[in-house]
Amino acid sequence: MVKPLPRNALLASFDFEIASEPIELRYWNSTTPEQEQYGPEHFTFFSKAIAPIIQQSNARELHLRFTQGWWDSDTWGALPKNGLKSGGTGVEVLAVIEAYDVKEAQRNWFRLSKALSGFFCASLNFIEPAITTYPQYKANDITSLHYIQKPGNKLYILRAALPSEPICTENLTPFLKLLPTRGKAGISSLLDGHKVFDSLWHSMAVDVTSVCDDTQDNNKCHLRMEQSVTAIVDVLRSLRKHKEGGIPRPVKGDELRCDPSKTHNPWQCFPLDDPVDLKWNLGTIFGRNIKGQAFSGNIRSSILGLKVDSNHWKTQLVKHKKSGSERHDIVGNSIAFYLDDDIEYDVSFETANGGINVAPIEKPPILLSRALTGYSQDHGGLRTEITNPSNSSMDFVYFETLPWFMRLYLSSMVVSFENETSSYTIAGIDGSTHIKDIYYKPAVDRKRPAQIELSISLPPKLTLLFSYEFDKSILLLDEYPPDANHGFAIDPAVITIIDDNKRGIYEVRSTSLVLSLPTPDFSMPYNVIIFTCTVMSLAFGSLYQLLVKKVVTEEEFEAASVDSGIKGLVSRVKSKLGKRKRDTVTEEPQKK
Amino acid sequence: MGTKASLLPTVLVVGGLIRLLPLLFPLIPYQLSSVVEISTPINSYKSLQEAFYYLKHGINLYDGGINHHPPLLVVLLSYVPNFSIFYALVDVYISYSLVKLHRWYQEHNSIREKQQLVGLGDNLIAAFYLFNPLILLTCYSGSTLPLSFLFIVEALVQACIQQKGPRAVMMLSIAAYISYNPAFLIFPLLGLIHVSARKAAVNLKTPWNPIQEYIESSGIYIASLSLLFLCSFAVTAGTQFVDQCYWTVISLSKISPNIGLWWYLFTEMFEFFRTFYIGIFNIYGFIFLIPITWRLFERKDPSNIATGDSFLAFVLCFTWINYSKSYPVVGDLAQALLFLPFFYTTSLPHTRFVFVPFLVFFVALILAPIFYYCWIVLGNGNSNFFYSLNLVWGIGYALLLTNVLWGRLVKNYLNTNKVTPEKHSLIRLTQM
Repeated sequence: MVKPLPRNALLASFDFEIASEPIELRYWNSTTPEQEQYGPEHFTFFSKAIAPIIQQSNARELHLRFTQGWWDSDTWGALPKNGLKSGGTGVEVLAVIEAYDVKEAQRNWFRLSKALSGFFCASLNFIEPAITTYPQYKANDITSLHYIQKPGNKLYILRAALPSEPICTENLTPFLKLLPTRGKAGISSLLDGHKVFDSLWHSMAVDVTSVCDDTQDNNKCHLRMEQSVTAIVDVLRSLRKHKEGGIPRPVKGDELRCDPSKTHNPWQCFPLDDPVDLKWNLGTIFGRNIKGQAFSGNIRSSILGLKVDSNHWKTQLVKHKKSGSERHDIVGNSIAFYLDDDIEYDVSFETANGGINVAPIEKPPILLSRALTGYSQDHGGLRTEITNPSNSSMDFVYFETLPWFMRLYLSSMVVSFENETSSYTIAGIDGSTHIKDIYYKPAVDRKRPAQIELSISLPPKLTLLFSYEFDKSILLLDEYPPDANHGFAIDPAVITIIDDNKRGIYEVRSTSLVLSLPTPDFSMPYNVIIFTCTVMSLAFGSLYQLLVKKVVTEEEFEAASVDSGIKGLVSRVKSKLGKRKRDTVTEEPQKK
Repeated sequence: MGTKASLLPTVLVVGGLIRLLPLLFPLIPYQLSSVVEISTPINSYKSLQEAFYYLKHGINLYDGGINHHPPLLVVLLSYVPNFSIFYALVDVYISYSLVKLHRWYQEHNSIREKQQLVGLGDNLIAAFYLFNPLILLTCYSGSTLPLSFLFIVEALVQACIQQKGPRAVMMLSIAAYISYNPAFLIFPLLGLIHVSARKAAVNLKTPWNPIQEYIESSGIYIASLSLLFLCSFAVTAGTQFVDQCYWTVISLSKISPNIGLWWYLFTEMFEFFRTFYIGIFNIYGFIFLIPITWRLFERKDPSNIATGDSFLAFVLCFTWINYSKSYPVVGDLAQALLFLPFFYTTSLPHTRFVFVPFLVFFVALILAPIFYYCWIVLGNGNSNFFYSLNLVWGIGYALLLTNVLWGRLVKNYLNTNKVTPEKHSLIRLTQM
């Protein structure tokens, strides 16, 4: 689906759906040998690479999100597909795992994340207990499975996010490998890492669910995979790159667009906004054409959808070998082209009637922003602002995980409400009628993150502000990453709007935050051991001397020291030598 | 003496009233509980408030990394309506107990030295506590440190003045329950109990067996500690609190900058050395307690010469513990220094350069907040700046301990050798 957005942005989203043949979902037990648990299985289009990973970790659902960039909801409106397919900055994993207890679920979870880490070339192997959470609010979203688990087993929802993970072409390659076309045909042939990731915002999602037929009793299920890539492309930049290459150059004098209402001459120019008369096609934006249909014989195997304001845009399907028929449906501003031929396709876009107008954008149902407050490296605060811009009350769940090194004081929470005319503040959340429920799991050092879930019902045109304070822990020397002063990324907060059945219908995430922690001097380990131990032994030694030695006057000490130590030894040797001399020279008796 | 004594109520009332400042500025405790020199994550007011929040919302108190206060303390303190008034009362009570202890000490030593010792006035002793800026800051910060000190002082009162050994060890067990470190004060406390029980036995002319006294006191100590633990176990229905309240202190698992020697070493420590150094530091923490008690023990001397000073032994042990503990604050130093005026008539005149440690502490106190600010807020200094003052702080303690101990050793020598006061300035002592 392609949709031009204001300010020459282009929303391109690629969606793929793959379902496996019905297979029997078994509970994979790590103690019994593999051969007994596996018969020959046939997945047809479903990727053979990922199915065993999912089966062996007993994952009944798996959701992966790879996202980068900041969604500008003022300009671009609501998130595509109600935000259900876009993650927060970095990588996000959520899995529903069948297990008999939470320990076993964790074991499966870590096995799953390690396997996925290798598969997707992402640092998912850094998923450890300290960042894993068990979101409660998702519990209502998994009942749609129809899956009947083994008696005594339960389904556990586990989630982890790696907000500092960069998303790159190496993540796209395995993503394309999951497709039956491998990115060689159909709309997936447009996906080129260099172009997709050169965008203002992009998100990659992989969702695997088990869809079971509840009429059959032996758990015959389809593994269903939905993959999607969504990107906001800056059209002007893509065109410039296409024309001039990757290095930006200043605009030449004769190409400058000056504001005619102001002074303009060869030396003075007040530049206008971005150009309004544009002509481009998908091939230039993505660097390739669509290489025919994905599968022959199925008209619906590749569909290209456009969502444009037809009064201001002229769009045309370009076929690179003039043959075949063109089939399309038009509903309002949307056009769907059915690509059913084995030829190269392209779409050209041209602005018409002056000015760039786009199909109306959907207003976001909720606005969320979160920021760190405070300026020092030992403590700070978090301030969250949630606005309901719509005309109806909104029920949602605010979900947030904070790492253990943020020592959160929930008792310091201050809640306030604001609308256009007034605002009021309450201390704590107990007095609030709008915050209905709170689930809070405090962090345990190095073992568990803090998890906060707030059930909120926000009346229309109201802004909810809440803030709480935290202390920053100091880490151990080897717990700091190589670039410690860069700071630590904090997971984005998630808001899920829920319907009457408590199912999520819209999701939005805040930006991730960078938290700077106090750092020790990394070059000091041995020095610190030496200095500290010096001071300690100074205290020890002097006290020890005082405690064990006898108090005497200095005269006594002088007298005694004559007979002891090196001095005493020397004098004793001297006297002995003298005695021998005297013995040999004279025979006088010695006086002792 | 009469006019001075009449000043005492004024001192107590004014001292109590200035502690009510947070009533006017309720943010003071929150601000001060973030200051690393004044409060630590183990005893801070903020974490106590968070514990109350957990208690109110039915969250397990010890299933998290914030609360390190023992369960009974949290439960009992949650009934305190106003902390400023509560801590003001605690501090006034402590200062009054100190005044009583001071009187007792002078009287006790007057008998031993066979001459009337005139110590400092009661009002001064109370003022040293109530108007000590470090004590005042500790009180404002709302940390639980004064509570533990309250029970230590009460243990001293029971052991010395009331001559009730069992009550004294019970009080100490409460102090140990609140903050772990005072647990080792049992050794010098037993020394004090021994002395006072002997005195009582001599007065009453009853037979008395010191071994039995020791076994009884230690038994009661262990029993009351176990009772406290059992109650805590019953309250929390789990043993997690042991881990959170005591093991954290022993193993320094919650590293945060403070003025002690531990934190930077363990931040910078390589993982494989950690256990070894934890062991070393913990042994270091109590290694001198028995030797100090032994050296300064008030032995029954046939010739009735006053050697040793069990009260000083207790104070020195307390100072040593405050110096070597894993989460020290400036309040610890202030509490140790409070007892110094007691020895104005005994050890202090014989110290060599007791002025120097005070200068060292003064420098550290002035510079530590500045260097910390440079490191944490401005970023133009690094952690070594602050660490250097930890070292200075440690040296200050070492100087203080050796000085006061030396003063007593000189006093012992003068007493045993019956040196007349005129000759005090002529005699020059050393050790071998």
